[in-house]
Amino acid sequence: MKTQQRLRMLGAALALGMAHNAQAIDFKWSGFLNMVGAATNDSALYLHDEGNIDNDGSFEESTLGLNTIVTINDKLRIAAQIASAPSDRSIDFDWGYGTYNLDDNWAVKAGRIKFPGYLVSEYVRVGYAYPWIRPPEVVYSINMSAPTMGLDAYDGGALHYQGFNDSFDYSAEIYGGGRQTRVMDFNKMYGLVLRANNDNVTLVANANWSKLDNPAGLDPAMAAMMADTANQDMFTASAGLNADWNNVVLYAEYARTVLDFINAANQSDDVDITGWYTTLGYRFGDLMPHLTYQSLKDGNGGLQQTSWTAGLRYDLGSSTTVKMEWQRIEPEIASGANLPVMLQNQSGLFSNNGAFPGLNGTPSDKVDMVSLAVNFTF
Amino acid sequence: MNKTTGMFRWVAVLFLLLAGSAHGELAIIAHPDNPEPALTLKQVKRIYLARAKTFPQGGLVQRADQEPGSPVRQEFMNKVLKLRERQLNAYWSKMTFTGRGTRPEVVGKDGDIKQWVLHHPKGLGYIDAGQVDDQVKVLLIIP
Repeated sequence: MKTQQRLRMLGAALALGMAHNAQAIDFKWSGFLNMVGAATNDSALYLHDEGNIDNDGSFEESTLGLNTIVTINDKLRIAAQIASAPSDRSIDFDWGYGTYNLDDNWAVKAGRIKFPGYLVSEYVRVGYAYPWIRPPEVVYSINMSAPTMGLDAYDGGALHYQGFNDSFDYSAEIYGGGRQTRVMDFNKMYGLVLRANNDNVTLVANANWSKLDNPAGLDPAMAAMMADTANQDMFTASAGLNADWNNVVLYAEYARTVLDFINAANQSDDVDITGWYTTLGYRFGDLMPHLTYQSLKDGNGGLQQTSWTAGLRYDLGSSTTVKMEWQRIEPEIASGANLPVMLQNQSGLFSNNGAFPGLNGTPSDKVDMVSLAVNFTF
Repeated sequence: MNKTTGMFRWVAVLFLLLAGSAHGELAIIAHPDNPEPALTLKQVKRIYLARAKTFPQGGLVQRADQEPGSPVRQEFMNKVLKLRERQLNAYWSKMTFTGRGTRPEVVGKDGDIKQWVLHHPKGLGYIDAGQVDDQVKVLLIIP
C-alpha cells in the first residue's frame, strides 16, 4: 500500500516536471547483472531467504537490476531502480526517490530510499561496485541475526547537507520513515548519517532508532515467533572506513544493534548484536586478491560466527568483472534462553533450526563455502 | 621490508613515467556567453564527478567528455579527477546505482568538444590548451 502511494506520488511529480520542462528533461538508463553460484559442504542453509546456500549449490543470489535517473531541471532529479528479488525471484521496487536541491548545500529527498548507514548499503546489490561477491554478511545480511534486522530501504524522507573544503567532501543527513519487510515492521524509524571522503578515503558513521511492530499478514507460526519484539525499540550504531591508496584497498566496518524484547519471564530484556569485518586487498592491474575476516557476536546468548574469506576479483574491460571466493565459516549455536524466540537455537547466519524445523540441520563447527560470480553493468 | 621498499620504488618510477608523459596544458572551456568568470580546479573536479550539478552562478551544467583512449582525457584524469580508469568506473557505478548522478556525455576529440560547447550555452568541456581559439571562453588553464 505504502509502495503504491509512493509510486503514484513519484509518477505525479514526474508528470508535473515534464509538463513544465518538456524540452530540458534528461533520461539516463543503466542496469546491472550479477550471476552468482555458491555451494557449501553442509546441509544447513546459509543465508536463509537471501541465498539459501547449502551443499546442493544455489544460484539464488543472482540479480538483475534496471535503473533510471531523470534530471528535470537544475533543482529536481528523480531516480528509481527495480531489481529481481533474490528470495522469491519476483521483480522488486528496490528504491525510487526524488531529490530537490534547495541550494548548493541543502537538499531534500522523498520516496523509497536505500538504507544509507553503511559503506556500501546504498548500492548493496550492485556487485560490480565492490570487491566481494556478497558484501560481508555479518554487517550486510538481511538475516534476522545480523545487525540490519532485515532493513535495507525505507519509505520516507531525508534532509541532506553537503559541503567541501580543500581536502574533504563531507555530508550530513537526517532521515526518517518506515518500512515493512517480510519479517519485521519498522513502524517508525529515524537516523543520522555522517560521511566524509577525499580521493583515497571514505568515512561513514550512522545512528538509527526504530520502533518495531509485527508485520500484518504473517502466517500464525511466524507471528508467534515475532510477538516478543512487537512494539519494542531497536537502536543501531555503525562506523565504516574505506581506503584506496597506491593499489591497496581496505574496508573496515562495525555495526551494533540493541533490540528490546519481552523475555520468557515476561520482563523487558535486550539482545545486543555486534558485527564487524576487515578486508584487505591489493590491485595487480586487473587482478585483485583480497582477504576478509568477519565476526558476529551476541553479547547475551552466545550466538556467534566468525569467518575467513580469500577472494579474487578480475576486471575484464570497463564493465565486467569475474570473482571467485573461498570462505571458511565457524558458527556457534545460540545457547542462552534469554533471547527473542526468533534467535533461539540460531547458529550464526545459518537458518534457524528451532524456528524452521525440518528445513535443515544444525551446521557443523566448520563450514566451507565456494562462490563464483560474474558482474556486469550496462 | 625489502618488498615494501621495492614496491615504493616501483610506484615512484611509474609516477615519474606518468608525470613525464603529461606535458600539455589543459583548458576548461565554456560557451562564450557563459557569465562565469573562472572556475577552480576543485570546482571543475566536483562538476565532472557530478557532486556539483550547477555552475557557481547558477544553471545546470552539461558536461562533455573526450572519447576513451584520448591522451587529453588521460591527462584530465591524472590532473583534475586524480583517478585511474578502474577507480573511475567503480565511482560511476556507485553514483549511477544510488541515483546521485551520471557520467558526462562522450563527445569526441578537441575539435568536437569546441563545436559542442558552442552549441550548448551551459556546456563545459576540456581540450588541449593549444587548441583554444577566440570563439570559446576559457574558465581555467591547468598547467
